[in-house]
Amino acid sequence: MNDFHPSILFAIAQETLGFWLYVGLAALALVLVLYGLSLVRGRRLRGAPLRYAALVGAVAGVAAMAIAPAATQASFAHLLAAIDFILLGAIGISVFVGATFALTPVFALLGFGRSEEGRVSLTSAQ
Amino acid sequence: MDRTPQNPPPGANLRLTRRQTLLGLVATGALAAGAAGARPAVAQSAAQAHIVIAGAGAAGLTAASQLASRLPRARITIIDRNERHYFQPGYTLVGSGVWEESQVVTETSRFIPSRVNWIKADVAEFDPDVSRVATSTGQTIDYDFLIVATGVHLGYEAIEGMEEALIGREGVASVYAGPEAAAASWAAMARFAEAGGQGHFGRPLGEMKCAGAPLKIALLAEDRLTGAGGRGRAELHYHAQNKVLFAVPPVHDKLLEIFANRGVNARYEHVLRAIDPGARRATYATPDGDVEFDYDFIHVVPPMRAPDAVLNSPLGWREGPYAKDGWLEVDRSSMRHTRYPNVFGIGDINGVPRGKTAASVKWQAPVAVTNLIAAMEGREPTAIYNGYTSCPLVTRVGSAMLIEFDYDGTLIPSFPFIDPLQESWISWLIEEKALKPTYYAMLRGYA
Repeated sequence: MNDFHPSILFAIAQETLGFWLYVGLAALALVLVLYGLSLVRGRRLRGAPLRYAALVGAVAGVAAMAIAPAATQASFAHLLAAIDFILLGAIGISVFVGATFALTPVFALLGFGRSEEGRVSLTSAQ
Repeated sequence: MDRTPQNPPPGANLRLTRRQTLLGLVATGALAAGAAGARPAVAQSAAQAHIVIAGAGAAGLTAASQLASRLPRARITIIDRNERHYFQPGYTLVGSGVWEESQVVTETSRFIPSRVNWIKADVAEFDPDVSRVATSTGQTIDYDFLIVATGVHLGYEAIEGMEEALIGREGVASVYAGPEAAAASWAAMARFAEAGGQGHFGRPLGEMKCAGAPLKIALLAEDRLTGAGGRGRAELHYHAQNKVLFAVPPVHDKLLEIFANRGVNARYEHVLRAIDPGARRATYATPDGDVEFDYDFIHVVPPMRAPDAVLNSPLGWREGPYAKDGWLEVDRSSMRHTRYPNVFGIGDINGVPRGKTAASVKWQAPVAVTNLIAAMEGREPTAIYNGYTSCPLVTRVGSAMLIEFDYDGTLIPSFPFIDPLQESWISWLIEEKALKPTYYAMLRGYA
């Protein structure tokens, strides 16, 4: 069965998203560049940047779950099978993980958590 | 003195992360490049021949894409006059107001590979004894191999008083005739949903494409009536052509349950024979003679048969259940013509049980193409089609049942986590969001 061959999934993604697939791929590339930039500049990714990103990611995940049925012209009343709730949860988790992944380097480069680094350094010197 | 730092300097704790990130970058790049560039591994053949494909619908275009990628040295010609391609599985969604008409229309040229010669005409005549077709524009084309993918003829004229021009008027709906007809059907359904009255649904005798659509339209009309507040003023009747609502027994049982819960009345062995739009009266043939019903809304499904060019050719079945309507005489496993070994069939035209859906095309096309290439190379065909077909049976705007089955009527779900007999949002999601892109990918040869 070839249904899940990467090239078929890519072709289906092309047909689903059209131009937006390439916007999404460009955004992914940008995020990877931001990770690289964060590393080069020695920015800390864990701690505050990750926490802030996770917070925004959680809000985005909940929002995605809230609007997912309506985006298909359905409502929560149409979630009838257990798999529907699992799918809805998976959508929320995917958006949470994606947003957290994408925003962590952004927050790191914006300087979130630098005061923490300062505090850590001062403590270390003592 | 312990010189081990208590806390590492900024960035030092990221060494492992840095390596992981680099690996991630490489892996992502490789995955993207692989996905964009590669196709599923299919054997190419150096065999040379002229292959003619009659019809550029779902079956013809899928075959053209697959042949073009697998036969770099073959000459391929596709014959069809339609410059627009219609996503027919979406007609029920247009007919129930879920989609706009424009969402099922695209250009045929999008899907025709550059090395395939497209003749913009209809096939007017098949002469398989001399391996030749004649087009509606007067051309004659010789072939070494032929794929028949003409689709069906919609026989509205076989219902007395019915014509396509009626669709959208006088309470008459029919989503089968095309995107415009589907949109006009929605206008009629929307009026019915407001006003209520007597609603009639059903299907014709004989083979038809997308046999689930008449059931979908009945249930969607019930859903729209409920949403618009007209349900209490309406009665809905579904007329089955035989003694069951659906050919697969567990699906029939489930539909009976749904019909009972939602107040849809099922009648059996009722076939629409005539319609009087002025009086809004429909006549049904039954084993006990004709019966008449008044209607305020009726969804008409035309009887279907092979197009004239196939019907009048030697290619159709000469005896058996598919002979009367001229369906193509192919072996139901190999998709190869049983009397003309250089002829193959794909899609609605095939005289096989059940297989008249886009999902059938997805599985028939690779079988026919593989077996055609085997025949070109002088080998016996070995690829087998098991009768797979699929019907995302929409039960409301927002829920559906994903029903897949084979020739034997055995349910064969593709996704083990989706119960085919359970209404679900995930099945609706597949119908509303996933089916069309998957279908278009199939037309491009990704199937």
